[in-house]
Parts: sequence; structure tokens; C-alpha cells
Amino acid sequence: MTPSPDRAAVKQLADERDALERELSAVVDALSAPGGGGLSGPLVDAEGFPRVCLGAVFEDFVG
Amino acid sequence: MLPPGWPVRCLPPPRRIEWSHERQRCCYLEHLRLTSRFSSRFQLPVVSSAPLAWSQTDIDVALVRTRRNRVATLRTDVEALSNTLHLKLQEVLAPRPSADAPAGASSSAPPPPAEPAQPPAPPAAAPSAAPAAESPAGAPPSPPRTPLPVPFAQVDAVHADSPAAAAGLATGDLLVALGSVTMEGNSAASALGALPATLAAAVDAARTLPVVVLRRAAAVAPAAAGAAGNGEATAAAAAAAATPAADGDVDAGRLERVELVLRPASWGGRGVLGCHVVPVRVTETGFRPQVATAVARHGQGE
Repeated sequence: MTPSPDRAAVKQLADERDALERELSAVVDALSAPGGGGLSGPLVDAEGFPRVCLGAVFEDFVG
Repeated sequence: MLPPGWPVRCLPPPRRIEWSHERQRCCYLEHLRLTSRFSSRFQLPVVSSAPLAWSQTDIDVALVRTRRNRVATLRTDVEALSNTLHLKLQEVLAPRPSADAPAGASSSAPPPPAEPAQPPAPPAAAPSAAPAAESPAGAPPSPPRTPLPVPFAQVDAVHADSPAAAAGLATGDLLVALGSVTMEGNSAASALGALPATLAAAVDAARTLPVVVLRRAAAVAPAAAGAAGNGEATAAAAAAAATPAADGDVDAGRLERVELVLRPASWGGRGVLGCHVVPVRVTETGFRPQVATAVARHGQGE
């Protein structure tokens, strides 16, 4: 009847997974924040340039 | 054409008003200079030949890519860790044979004395593991307390009308000793490797071989009827609590020792045994057949 090492190993695994999940949620939050870039979606246009929100600037200015 | 230095992407969308390129450029630069949003970040000359928009990203592309990569990595790691944790939890939470063996053995104690008494030949030629397990078993109430001998193979299938069937071997039996072949001092693979020679010698000499098997105690009655391992789970309600984890692991706490006499000989089928065995691996809670290697042993009796 020696459950302690097994249980300790399980506990350690669970702690590792919790730490990974915390980091994952932090990174996801940073990406999902406004201006964070989003979890998916293109970051550059077809020519390879960074996508810029200048259209909004021009809309505000011109319109 | 556009004037030099005017980034193509900064063109406004088509509008009703016709804007000249110069007008667009001037208005845009003025707008950027006056907008507080950009004034702190960019020192804009009135006339610039540098492509402005190339550096005016609101999004740090490298940072976003790094974060996305991190997200993918973390998701993979979490999934792998969850799988490991799942398996580990199954091991930890599985019923321990040492803990509940008395309860299971006491409930299934009456059948064993009736069944394993048939072998007429005493295990004279049985290996030393057999007497070690046999001597305390003389006391009827507690045969399973003794440390069980280590099996080297499990019977996977028994053909009808074969020497194995005549000897009483049943599907699921764990072979501890077959003649002089035991698990002692060698691995299951080498024991199985020595099996054909032993069988061939027995066939040539036309003599019998003592066989010692471990058999699931609750499975005695269904095994006599030729039922497989999953059939016995549904057979006895009392065996429901006594059945091990459903992944094929044989619980060492519920095995009983059975001695048989086998006369290997040619029969209608392949080999001289008429049964199919697979090597077994000793795990923490019992024995697990190594099904992956069963193909290599298929014709072991020949």
C-alpha cells in the first residue's frame, strides 16, 4: 500500500498542467486584447507588408 | 504615377471628390502631425521620402507571431500532459490487488478447490517455482496469499480437439511452467524461444509435460465452457466487482494456480499443442499480454 509516490507524481503533473494553462490563458488574453493581433488571421497583406489600419484614418479624415 | 516616397497603401478609398496626389499627401501628413494618436510616436517631416506606412503598424507582427507560436506550443503541451495525467490517474485510482484480494478471494474461495484437483500427475518435474507456491497452498483457506510465480506466456486461443484442449488449457491461462520451460532467470522471449525444442523433445519421446498455469479464479466455470475473457465479465454478477481494469490487464490478486498434464502430439491442426500463446509482461498490478508480438509467435508449436 504505497500510493504516496504515485499520488505525488499525479499532483506534480496536475500542477504542471495548471501552470501551462495559466500561461496559455495569459497569452490568449494578450492576443485577444484590442490591438493585440488576434489569435488568427493574417498579419501581412498579399504583398508581405504589415497590415495597417490606415484605412480607418483616411475614413475619419476624408469623410 | 505617384510621387516618390508616397506609399501605395496609403491611398484612400475611392471618393466622390477628385483628390490630386499632392493634395492627398499634404492632407495626410498634416493629419498625422495634428493627430495626437500619432504625434508622440512619429516625428514627421513635412516632406519625407520614406515610406511612412511601412513602419506605422499598430500591430507588432513579430510579437504577435511569437505569441501565436507560444499559444500553439502551450496547447500541444497541455494536451500531452492531460493524456499523461489521464493514464497516471487510471493507474493510481485502479483497485489495488493487495488491498482487496482478501475480499475477492474469500468470495470466490469455494470454486477453486473443486476445479484444480483433476491433474493426476503430481508436479514432480515442475520447476522450483511450483513447490514454492505449493507448500503453503496445502492450507486450503489461503492459497492466493503466496507470491505467485511469474508467467511467461498467456494462452490466447485453444483449438478444439487439440492436445491443449485435452489437457484442459483454456483461453486466458497464464503459462508458468511447461515442462522445463519457466520464466526463471530469463525473459519471456527466451522462454518462448526454448518452447519449441521442449515440445519437439516431448513429441519424439512421446511423453507428457507437466503444465502449471495461473487461471483467473472467477473464470473457472466459464473457462471450462470455453468462454473468452469478456464473456466471463457478464457471466457472474459476483465477478463484476472482481473483474480487473477492462484494458486486458490480468489482476494478479485473483489468480489461482492450476496444474495440468499435457501430451504434445500431432493433431489435425498446426503444431503439436493446438493452442496459441502470447508473451506476457509483468506490470505493477498484474500481467498484461503483449499482443503486439503475438504474430511472431503464431507458429510456435511447430
